[in-house]
Amino acid sequence: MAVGDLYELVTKQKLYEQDVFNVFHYEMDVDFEHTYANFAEAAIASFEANILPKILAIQSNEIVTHEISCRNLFNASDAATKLVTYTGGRITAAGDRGLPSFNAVGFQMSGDNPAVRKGHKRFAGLKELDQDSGIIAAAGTYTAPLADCEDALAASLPSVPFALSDLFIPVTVKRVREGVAGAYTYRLPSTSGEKVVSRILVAAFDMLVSSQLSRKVGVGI
Amino acid sequence: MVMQRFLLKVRQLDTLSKRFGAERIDVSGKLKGLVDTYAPLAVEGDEELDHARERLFDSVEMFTGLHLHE
Repeated sequence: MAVGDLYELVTKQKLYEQDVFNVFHYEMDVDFEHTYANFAEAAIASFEANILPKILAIQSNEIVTHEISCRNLFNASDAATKLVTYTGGRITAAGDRGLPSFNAVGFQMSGDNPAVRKGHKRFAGLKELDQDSGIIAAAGTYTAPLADCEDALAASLPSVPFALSDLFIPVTVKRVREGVAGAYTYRLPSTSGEKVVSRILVAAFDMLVSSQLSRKVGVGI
Repeated sequence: MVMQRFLLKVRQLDTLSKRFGAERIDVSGKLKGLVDTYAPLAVEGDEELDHARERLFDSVEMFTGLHLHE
């Protein structure tokens, strides 16, 4: 656990009995005093307090967040898991039911390093009236929480409860390529020497509702 | 940064309107909704909300040719 270490934070959600995971990466920017078991647990606490509410605000009340886990990619002992129960904040109703779990709102995340491709996030839990012909309904009440979520995805994790800023910076991580041409495999870096990251500067949601093939029944988990 | 987020959606709606038809997806209504969302965020310094809204409308016209000014 040192400045510059990479942390992988995973939110585990369920929608219609299907698992919906989202993975976030953060780079530790400042060493700081805290009262948690390790820095991974501190990152979870900060994410839960500062970022997760913005994500829940764009999801329907049919999706349940049940676990947040975090691990230091460079130090296996710096890891934590927290069981939680949160539902999305957008209430479904007759005529405004939830869309299938493979329908999601996508976000593009541009960073400061052109050597790393753009990051993407896709959040399930859309409602019927949040979209119109497969395109985000911009005239309703949905774009304001989406814009808040854009800010959150590009924001650093501050410490909780001390409110120091910029402890963990959101990043996109370049995968390490291994193998031979035609049979390359990709993995996350496991040492600081392998690390290539792009610090996220802007997150912007896409107007077209995404269809996640991996979340379709029989394909996903 | 706010302008970058806004213009990404303008470009996407421009492409989608060419594919599906501007009327079918109500591209004008969607762009006006986006202007209402992003104008308050685009206010910087002493710039007033109306000016921010006009600036976003100008950007829409430049990218799409659509006339959104009241």
